[in-house]
Amino acid sequence: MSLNLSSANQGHLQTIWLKKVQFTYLLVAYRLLLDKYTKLSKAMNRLVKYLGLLLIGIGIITDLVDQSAGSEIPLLVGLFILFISREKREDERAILLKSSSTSIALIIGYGFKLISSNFYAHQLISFQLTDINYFLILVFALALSIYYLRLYLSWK
Amino acid sequence: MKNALKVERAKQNITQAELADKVSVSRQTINSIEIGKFVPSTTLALKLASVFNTTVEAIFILEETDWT
Repeated sequence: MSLNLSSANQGHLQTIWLKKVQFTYLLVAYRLLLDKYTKLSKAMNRLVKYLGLLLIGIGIITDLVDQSAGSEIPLLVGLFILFISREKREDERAILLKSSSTSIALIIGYGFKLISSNFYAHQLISFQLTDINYFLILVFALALSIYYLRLYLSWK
Repeated sequence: MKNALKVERAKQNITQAELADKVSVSRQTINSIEIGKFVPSTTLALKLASVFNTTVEAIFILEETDWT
């Protein structure tokens, strides 16, 4: 009887040990997958950022050289990509700074639109901000400038 | 709000970058907290306290002006 019990016990212990080994293997596999995903995600973030910068560069040149309608699209898309791209370490401060910078940029941009329209109506300036794309370019450019200034330059 | 993050960091002899790594934020965030420009969330405050083996109240101290 005692012999039977001890063999049953041994079997039970073996099952527990096997389960532990399986769990450890699963944990290691999960960890490796997670590491791979994190590395891939970081590489993708960097790639997206470079793509945004490249499009901004192309967009500025295109917009200066070509005056036709739609020439501002690469610049707008580039700014948008850079705007939605994630930081290397996007923590709570980065998220807070991005949202507050966007609201500041929107207020400045719309204020500029109202003032420029008013000045144009009174023939004080020769241009006005009517195209939505140029308004968005102004807002995105302002938001990104304010965001990166506040993110990397901190003074008391 | 005052904080004793710099003091605690000096006690443990760790750099801003090392602390940032431990609590998964950027070095700039730690710097902003130290100079009082950024007030961290409850989660981050608890993480910081845990790194220094102390309480949140020992690191972050309310000032008179915080009550108004």
